[in-house]
Amino acid sequence: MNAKGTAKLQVKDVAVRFPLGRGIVTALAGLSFSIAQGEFCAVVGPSGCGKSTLLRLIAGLAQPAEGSVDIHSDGSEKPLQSMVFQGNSVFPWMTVLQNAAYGLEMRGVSQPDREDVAERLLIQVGLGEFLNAYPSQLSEGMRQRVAIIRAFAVDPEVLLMDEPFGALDEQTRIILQDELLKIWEATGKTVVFVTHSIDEAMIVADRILVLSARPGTIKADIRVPFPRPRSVETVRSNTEFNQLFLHIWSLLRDDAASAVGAAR
Amino acid sequence: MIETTGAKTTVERAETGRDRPGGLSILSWILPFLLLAGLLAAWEVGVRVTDTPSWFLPTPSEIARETVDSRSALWGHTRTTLLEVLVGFSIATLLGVLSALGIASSRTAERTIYPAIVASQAIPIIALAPILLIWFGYGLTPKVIVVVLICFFPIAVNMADGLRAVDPDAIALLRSMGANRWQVMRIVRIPTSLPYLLSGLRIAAAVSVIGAIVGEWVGASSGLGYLMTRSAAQFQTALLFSAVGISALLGITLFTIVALSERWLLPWRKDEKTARQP
Repeated sequence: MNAKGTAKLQVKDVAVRFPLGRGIVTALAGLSFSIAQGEFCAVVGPSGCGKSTLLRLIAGLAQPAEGSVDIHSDGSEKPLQSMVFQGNSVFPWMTVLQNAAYGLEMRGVSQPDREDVAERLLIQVGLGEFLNAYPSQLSEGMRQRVAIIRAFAVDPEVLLMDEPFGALDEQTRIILQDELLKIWEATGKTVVFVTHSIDEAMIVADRILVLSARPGTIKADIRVPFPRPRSVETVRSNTEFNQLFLHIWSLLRDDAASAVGAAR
Repeated sequence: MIETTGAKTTVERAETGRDRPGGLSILSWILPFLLLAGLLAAWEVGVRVTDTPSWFLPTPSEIARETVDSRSALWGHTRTTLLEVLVGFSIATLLGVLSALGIASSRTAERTIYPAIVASQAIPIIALAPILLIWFGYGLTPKVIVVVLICFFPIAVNMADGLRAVDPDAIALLRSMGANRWQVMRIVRIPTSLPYLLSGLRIAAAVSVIGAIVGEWVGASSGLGYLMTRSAAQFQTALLFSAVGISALLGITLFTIVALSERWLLPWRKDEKTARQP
């Protein structure tokens, strides 16, 4: 596996609480894990277990009540993290090129340089003809591709993805999963990928953290054995695919059922 | 889900129909024109048949003749009013945008500025106009102030709403990339607020002429509002109608100019109705 050694991201004894009505809800409790440099880690869990909260903590958008989150930086000017959301994460008033490039502005890259970087990446994913199009002229899948390119363009220490394909139809999702595999295998970024889809986690990640129902703690830390380079087809046709799926589902089943109020 | 998609398709079809020449659009231009022509014809015939005196209600043809005969006087008064409107509208836009940015910049600023903006709208303008007359005389200034007061409110309130209507995820996204307050403002908040600002500007454009006329009514030596009071006092009813018609035309023209500027200010909306790939 990716054994480049040093921990890129270290989450230590994290607890998150927030007020709800008169009481206090504990979203995450005693959460600890670390992710190595260049590791692709997926986080799955039942709805409401605090997956997105975890991502917001890593993104520095929220502070834990206890514990710490550290991203190891080698002192370069790279931003610590960059995020992709489920939908609407491209701006309608910017062209495809501007959308992909503006993230670099925060790093002080000059306009011609940031457009060069963005253009190169956009051409790689087949959006070369759409550089000057507005998002309203694109399909949902193309828009989400632009959002992913924007996140990669800033070359962050850690890339955070919060159900980036959650709003897409299945066929578009498969195509984008394949594309993400290609871009990731070319760049080797450290990624934390939150998803509700067990399939998707197994396809894209090297490692899957299974969270329990609230308060979220780590229920299992699973290595995904499928060899790289991958594609959706090679992973799905792997003989171990169904077995691993069932294993992860058995871990999630009870929590997922109670999250939707189903009888056990 | 299916219902929503269906409704959206209908809307899109209707809007492309309006934009595209030919087909539906010719009919949509002709129908209001026919209605207007019909109303004018009924007016003309009605006045002639009932032998209504011209000082009470002139016919459209009499009004048209009066407009042509008095064109140089009308043009002079129109220029006065137009100047008041344009200066007032520009100042209101500037003040409105600055106040909105102020309101959006902090809670304290919002609590300080917002009541003043509401107060500016709560004062009956017609009551304020005589005071302005006492302070600033018969010239341009009091009319411009009335126009500013009437236009400022929709601009400031709409833009302030727009600046606050930003998707919290968008701000989170920028913050996670290390954007400072000004970058958040420039990259997301201002672009988000522009459609709101334009609705405010459209409303302001439509009422701006009313402001100038009200200002002139109270005391002026020139302008369409002045012409209206004068011609009414002298029973020059055709000229009065002429002045009313021109001021309405001014308002419509300003409204249209603002509406058209949307294409230039919001270029990304121009293409929104073009076909989307699934």
